Amino acid sequence: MVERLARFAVRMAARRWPAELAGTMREEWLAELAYVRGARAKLAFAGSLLVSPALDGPSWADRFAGLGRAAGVTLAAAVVANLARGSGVFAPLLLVLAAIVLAAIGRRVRVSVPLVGAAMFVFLFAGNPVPVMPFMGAADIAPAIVTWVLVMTLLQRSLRRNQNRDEDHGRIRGRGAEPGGARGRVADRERNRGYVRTAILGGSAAVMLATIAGSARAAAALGIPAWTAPAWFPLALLPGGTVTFGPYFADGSAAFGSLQAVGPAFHASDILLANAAVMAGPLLLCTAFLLHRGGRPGQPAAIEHGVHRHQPGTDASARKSRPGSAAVPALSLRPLPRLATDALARRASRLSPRLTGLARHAANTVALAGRDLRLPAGLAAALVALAAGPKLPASFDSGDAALRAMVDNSAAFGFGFVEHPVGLGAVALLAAVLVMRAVGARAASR
Amino acid sequence: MAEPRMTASVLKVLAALLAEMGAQRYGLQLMQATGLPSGTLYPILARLEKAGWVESRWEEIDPVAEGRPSRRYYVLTADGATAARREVEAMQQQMSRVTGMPGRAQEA
Repeated sequence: MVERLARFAVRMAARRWPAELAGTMREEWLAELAYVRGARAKLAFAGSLLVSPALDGPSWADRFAGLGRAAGVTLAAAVVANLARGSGVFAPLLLVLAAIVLAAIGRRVRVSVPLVGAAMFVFLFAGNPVPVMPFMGAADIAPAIVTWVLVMTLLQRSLRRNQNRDEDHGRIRGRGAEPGGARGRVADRERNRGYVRTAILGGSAAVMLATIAGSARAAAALGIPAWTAPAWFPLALLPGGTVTFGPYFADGSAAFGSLQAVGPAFHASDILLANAAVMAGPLLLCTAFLLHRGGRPGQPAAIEHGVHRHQPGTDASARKSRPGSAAVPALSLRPLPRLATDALARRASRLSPRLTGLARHAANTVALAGRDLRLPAGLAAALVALAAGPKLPASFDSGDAALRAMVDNSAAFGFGFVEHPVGLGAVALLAAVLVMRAVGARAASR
Repeated sequence: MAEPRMTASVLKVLAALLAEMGAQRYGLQLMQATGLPSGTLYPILARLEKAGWVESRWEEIDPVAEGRPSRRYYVLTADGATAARREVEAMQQQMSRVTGMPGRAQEA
């Protein structure tokens, strides 16, 4: 059993390496593993390979940066979802608009699905204490997040495969020979349309399945029939009471596990849908954010680690040669941007060589000013987070308040963790780091 | 070829390979000699090989007849040995400046 687990870990580790080395490394590690004595030593050998950065892969610093971006995206999605849901009847429209805006931002930021899933789990778990949100425990959140991560990962792979296939077909037919030509534009439009269609359908399926997985326990406890499951996600986005089903609680008393509350009369569906909405809103926005990034043909590159860069082994052709690779997807990365200093200097040198030095000096000053802005920008972001954090909807202070909010489906994504100084400090630090990196990236790409 | 970035772990690997010039070492041996985990050692070996400092070859045995898998052996190239000596000596000199102890001319 241990041997099999270790061999599996070694194979997984080798898949993260560049395609030209992956096979050799796998054979070498499997051979060495056969010589390692003892179960613990075998697991240590394989585990170290599995968790350590691969050659040309993201380093530990990159991974922490990725975690920060995932946490930032999740927090932003939760805040925006709360704002949209607070608008009553306009909530569905605002959520769709927010999804479009986040999708546009998502084009420029690389975030991994599993990391967003992990951040979402932590925030939901820490922000919504179980006693007041009766179906927001690990037993509800974990199935939802695991389902979402699985479906999203499969969807991203499918989109990548389609893109690679389209590129191959384009090359074979010569359609891609003239990217700026009319035939090339038509082909790009067709591919874009196909991508958008698959992304919207697949993304909706991901959130719908996650909502069902995360609400199954609640449905069983509330006596709601399973055949209503496909409607839970869309109905969760609507104002409370739009559609009701399940048992009716005429006396308004609720006793679900540790929740003992009294409020207005309600249907079981009110509790289920409100609970589902707290997860589904942010998940929907995160889905839009993740599906738009870099995967569409002809789309601009992702910004990674604050600067544009092309990573070896992550372009479409390399990825294609590693079928089923579990690495973070990276598609259609555009060429390295020219730094402002070089571009200006080149232009100036055409006019007069004397201007070259002056232009380079001016551009350097601009770039340095951008970099110098990082600290004040980070400080400002931290102060804003510290001021705004306590105003975010925290957990309900009583079961009655939670019940009322659930009945009219206004229960918000809880930011219970900002009630604690450590949680608030962590949010402020996250805001500062993300803003500093964004300002630094802007200065570098100017 | 770009030179690999020198870190404490890379220096440990180079020192281990320098310890017995010409000797071919496999991964587990180098892990024991350096105390580095597999996840740190193999990326370093790959970078050193890419830089031309190290070359590797597979053990030429019949795994079925021998009843064991063939291993991959690493050895410093001539360029790699020169560069490794230079880097290890530079590190020793830096350390001797910090500690005040005279640095040895060459690491065994």
